[in-house]
Amino acid sequence: MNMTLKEKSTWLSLIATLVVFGFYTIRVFSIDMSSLSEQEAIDVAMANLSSAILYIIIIEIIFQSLISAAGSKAEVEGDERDRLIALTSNNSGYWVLSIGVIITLGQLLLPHAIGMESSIKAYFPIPLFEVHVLLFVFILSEIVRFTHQIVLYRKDAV
Amino acid sequence: MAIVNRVRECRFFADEMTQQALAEAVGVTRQTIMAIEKNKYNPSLEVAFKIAHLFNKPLEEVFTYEAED
Repeated sequence: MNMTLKEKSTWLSLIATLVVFGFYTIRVFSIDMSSLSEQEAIDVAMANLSSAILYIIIIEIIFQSLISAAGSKAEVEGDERDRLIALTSNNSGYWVLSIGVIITLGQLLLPHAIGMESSIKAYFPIPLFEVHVLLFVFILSEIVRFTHQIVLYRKDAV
Repeated sequence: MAIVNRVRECRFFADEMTQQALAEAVGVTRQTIMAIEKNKYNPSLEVAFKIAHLFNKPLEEVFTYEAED
C-alpha cells in the first residue's frame, strides 16, 4: 500500500488506541459492582487504567520509533499536506471532544440547576462514572481524529 | 477543482523525472506529488513556485486557474 510515514504512524496510533482502550472498556464494564465495595471497584478500574496507559506508551514508543527509523528526516517531519491533513482531522476530534465535555458538564450540573437527577448512571454501573465518561469521550475524539486523518490520506482529499 | 496543473507533463519532458526526485527537489513527499498530479491537492504558493522554477517555467504555465461555472 502506498502510504506516507505519517499515514503509517496514524494507522499505528488508531490500532493501538482501539486495541488497548477497547480491552480497557471491556474490563471496566465487566467489573461486578455488586460484589465489590466502591473503593475496591475504583482500585480495580485504576489498576486497569494504569496498565492501559503503560501499554499505549510502550507500543507507541517502540513502533513509532521503528516506523521513523525506516524513513528520512523529511518524511518524519512531514510536509505541508501532512500538516493540512493533521489540522483538518484535529478539528473533527475537537468537535467530538467539545460535545462530549458539554454533555458531561450538563450531566453534572442538571441535578443542581433544575433538581433533575440524570438516570444515565443507573444504566452504566461503572466506578468513577463521570471520570470514565470524560475518558471515553477523549478516546472517542482520538479515534475520530485518527480515522478522519486516514480517510483524508486515502482519498487524497486535501 | 479550479486549479489544474501540468506537473506530470513537465516531468515527462524533464527526462521522465521520477515523482520521488521531484518530491525531494521541492521538499515534499512523493504522495503529495501524486496528489498534486491527480489534481486532488493544491500545493502552497511556495511549493508551486519551486516546482515551476525546477522546470524553468513560469508559474502560470504549470498551474492554471480554471473558473468554475
